[in-house]
Amino acid sequence: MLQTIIAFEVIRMKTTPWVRALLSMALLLLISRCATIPTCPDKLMPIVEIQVNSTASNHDDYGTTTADMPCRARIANPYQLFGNKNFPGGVAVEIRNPAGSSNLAFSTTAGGTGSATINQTLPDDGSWATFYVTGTSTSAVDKSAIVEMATSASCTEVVLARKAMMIPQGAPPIPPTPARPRVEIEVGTVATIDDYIAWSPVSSRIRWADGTANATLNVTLSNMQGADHLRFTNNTLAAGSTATNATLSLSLPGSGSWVEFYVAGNFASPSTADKDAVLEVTETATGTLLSRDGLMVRIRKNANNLTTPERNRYLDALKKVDATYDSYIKFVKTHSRDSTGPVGSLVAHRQAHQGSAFLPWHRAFVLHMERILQAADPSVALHYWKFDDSAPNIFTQDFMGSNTAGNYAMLAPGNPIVSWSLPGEGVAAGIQRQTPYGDNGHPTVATETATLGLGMPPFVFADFKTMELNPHNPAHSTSGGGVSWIAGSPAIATRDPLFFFLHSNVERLWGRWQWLRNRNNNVDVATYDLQGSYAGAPAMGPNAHSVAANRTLGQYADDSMWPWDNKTGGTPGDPAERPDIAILTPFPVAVDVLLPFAQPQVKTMVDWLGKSLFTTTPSNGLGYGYDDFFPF
Amino acid sequence: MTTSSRFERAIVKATIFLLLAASPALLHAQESKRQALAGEVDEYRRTVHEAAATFLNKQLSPAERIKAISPYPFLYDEKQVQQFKSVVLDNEERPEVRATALDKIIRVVPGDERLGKLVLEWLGNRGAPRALRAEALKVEADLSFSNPVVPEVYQKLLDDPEPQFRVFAFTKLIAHGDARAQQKLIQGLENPDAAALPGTTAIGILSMAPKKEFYPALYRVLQTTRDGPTRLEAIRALGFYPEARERLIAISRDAKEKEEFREAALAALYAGDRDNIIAYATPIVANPDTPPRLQGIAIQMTIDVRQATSWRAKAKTADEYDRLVQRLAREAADPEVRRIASKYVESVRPHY
Repeated sequence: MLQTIIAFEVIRMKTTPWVRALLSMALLLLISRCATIPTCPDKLMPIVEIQVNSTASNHDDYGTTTADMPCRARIANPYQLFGNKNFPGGVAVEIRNPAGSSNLAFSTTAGGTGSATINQTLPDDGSWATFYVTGTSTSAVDKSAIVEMATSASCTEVVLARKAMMIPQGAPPIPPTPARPRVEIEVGTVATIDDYIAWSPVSSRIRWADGTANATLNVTLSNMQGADHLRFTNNTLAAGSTATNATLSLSLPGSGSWVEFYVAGNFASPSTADKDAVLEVTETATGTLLSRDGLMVRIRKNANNLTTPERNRYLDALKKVDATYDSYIKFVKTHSRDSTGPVGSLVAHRQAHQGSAFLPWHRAFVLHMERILQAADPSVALHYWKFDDSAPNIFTQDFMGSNTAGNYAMLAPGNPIVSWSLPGEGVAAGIQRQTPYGDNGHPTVATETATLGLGMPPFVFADFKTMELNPHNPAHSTSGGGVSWIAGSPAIATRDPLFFFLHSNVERLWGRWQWLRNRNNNVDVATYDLQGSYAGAPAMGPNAHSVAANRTLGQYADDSMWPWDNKTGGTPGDPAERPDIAILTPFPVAVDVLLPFAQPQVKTMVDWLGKSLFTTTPSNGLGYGYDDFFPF
Repeated sequence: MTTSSRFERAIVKATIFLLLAASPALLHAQESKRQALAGEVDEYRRTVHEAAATFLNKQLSPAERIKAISPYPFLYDEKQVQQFKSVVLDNEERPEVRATALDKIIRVVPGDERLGKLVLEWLGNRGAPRALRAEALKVEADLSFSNPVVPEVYQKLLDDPEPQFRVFAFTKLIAHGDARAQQKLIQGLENPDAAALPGTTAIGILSMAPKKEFYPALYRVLQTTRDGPTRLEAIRALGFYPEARERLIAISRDAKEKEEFREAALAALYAGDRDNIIAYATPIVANPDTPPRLQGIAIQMTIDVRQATSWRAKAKTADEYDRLVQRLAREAADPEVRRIASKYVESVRPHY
């Protein structure tokens, strides 16, 4: 797979635009073959296109409260390479407002009674399924009404698409008459589920859909007024760079062919809500508004600084993953565990701890969780707990729980995780956690500055990886000792959802160190010390818990990682032995985010910005970014 | 320097200037942020180096030495690390000084057999100076998170006179499935006067045990104890014990019980028998005298099990419980109950 991607990239660089376009389509097809529904390993992810008002252009994505508007949706990846259907019988979906909003009503027939949800089946041959939308209330802000489409699969539920529109109070921002040039925009792919971007550039394209041959339409891409979330650049962007221009001028040919550009988040202004980053297309000469597209600059943020809606969306998604989809428990049963359960497994433990792979393995673990959360709500990111600072907004009853006494975190009755439960674990509902540092304190850990200073010049990974011992270990062990899950042992720490905030911060510290020391070249020992692949190296030394001693399978840059590689078992005691189960497999591949593929290698996790793998074209890496540094 | 080389340098400088000037301001800002961070880190490292040098100065008093290095978690200079190790191993040094030295080089302990042995020796030796034992416990607590191997010395700590050593040992051993440690805590539940740990702590630790051999003893505790906190922990931990289910149901519905016990009982039922949560929650939600917090929690639990589209697909029409919550969304006296009930209606989307 990796080689194929590289070959594609090379060919793309050296061929004409139309060949590049063709290859891009082939690449999409290839990727779509790998993208499975998160938590449903054997179920391919349907890539869904939605058209409001049944046109590909967004100029008419404006409804009313009085008349219904025809919309349609289809599967964009209905066939396999040799003609077999990917989804025989079609894909059953629910069409609805996202949780917490109710400004649209839906029906399956024209003039039908609108309801909060309808069920439809998207045909298996890629043809359109029609539905109708009416506004239940009006809005002053464009793209503030969202059509959500989710699967009704038996093993899980996944949001497949979210398309933004508006129910204006008066005339729509783009009036139907006189007719304006129609432009079509695709951010990433034709799907909307990839319209969630970070700081890295996302390959996008635009075309003039109703032009005439030999004519040219000059347009300007910018942010909608009052929402400066996006940055742009044209298709000459160098590899390893990102889009940083507030506006972009493009000439669209009348032939209708696509013009490529890149879009990225504005570091100064990440999104706080879904579709609040609105790409606006105007005619350059006249300033006439032609189209708008709703995106989101979805960034991992300091969880202590979230807005109330951001916090609530996170909690709702977390609870869905836990209680509704029963996915959270799979993470619990993977971290330092095999089939023997909470007692823990040394073999499972060493895949992820006490060695070089500690950081890349947990980067994958955290990203896996983030993608599962995003399957429940694509507007959610896996935020972080900056554990060397006080975080009074995290340790509240409305968020991750307050603890002033007793063995459990105190949670408000309306907090979705108030009844946190772990099916099959045999533990009480709630979160067993004591925080001796109180709601306003923090664990006794090395500060961020101290951590970033680890080692001696020239500051290499072999030194930085000792952060596993501090700040990582005391962030766990000083969070309650005794009865706290998060402090108890690695085999039970994951029971506490705070684990993922803690490890998102560990991961952020590594990313920040990579940025600070320019350690992005994943074939450089300074970036990752154990290069090459495991080749029968000796077992762990006498001090088995030395982070320098682990030389087992899964520690080397070219090694694939358990559990995602689904390799289990082996000779007991052998350094290549794997745990006897692999629950979290394959890795959930996100639409239009190539990395890290379904079976990540250590080195693909090291290369989180895609700078090593993509040396000739820009890359969106692993598809996430942090609110406190801009790694370009 | 020749005229031509000066000219070339000027051209290069001008080119760099133009390139920089042409780059977006953001990139400059980020680069300067990175430089600033690098400077801050360097400065910090220098400060630590100086503090370590102060600590190593035996001319100073122990208090001055300890105060100098205390704010810093670890050392960067390998030579100083070795000097700190010498302090740890030096029997002539004060225990507080040795403990402080060890604290700053914890990261080398896993790879240093001599230090590793010393830590375990101090941990198990009740006669060792208090400062050294306390530091050994801290080192072991930190390192044991990365190292799931349980040393033999933990067994000795189960009877340690210091409670924090006992709590540590019980936690580690029970999490790793140690039967002896579990039995000791169970015996303590049955005979509180001879218990190794207070009831609440013991139950908290026991509930982390992979094998739940403590359920019968804990159920007896639930039926007999008069200690509120112990009873609360017992209720919470018994959700998976079928024999306790009827008792938990009764507690959850009993208006005479304290609210915290009712809440814990409902949480236990939810954990142990989630599929039947609607049946457990309905009498609580329907009773107008139920305290608002408990009522809200009960509704929240039912959101969890009914918000999936698979539930909606199965439930063709709204049932009695859906209608009950719909009424509360409109009419409940407590605003938080109204809010949670509204959330149920919004998330579950029953076909009313």
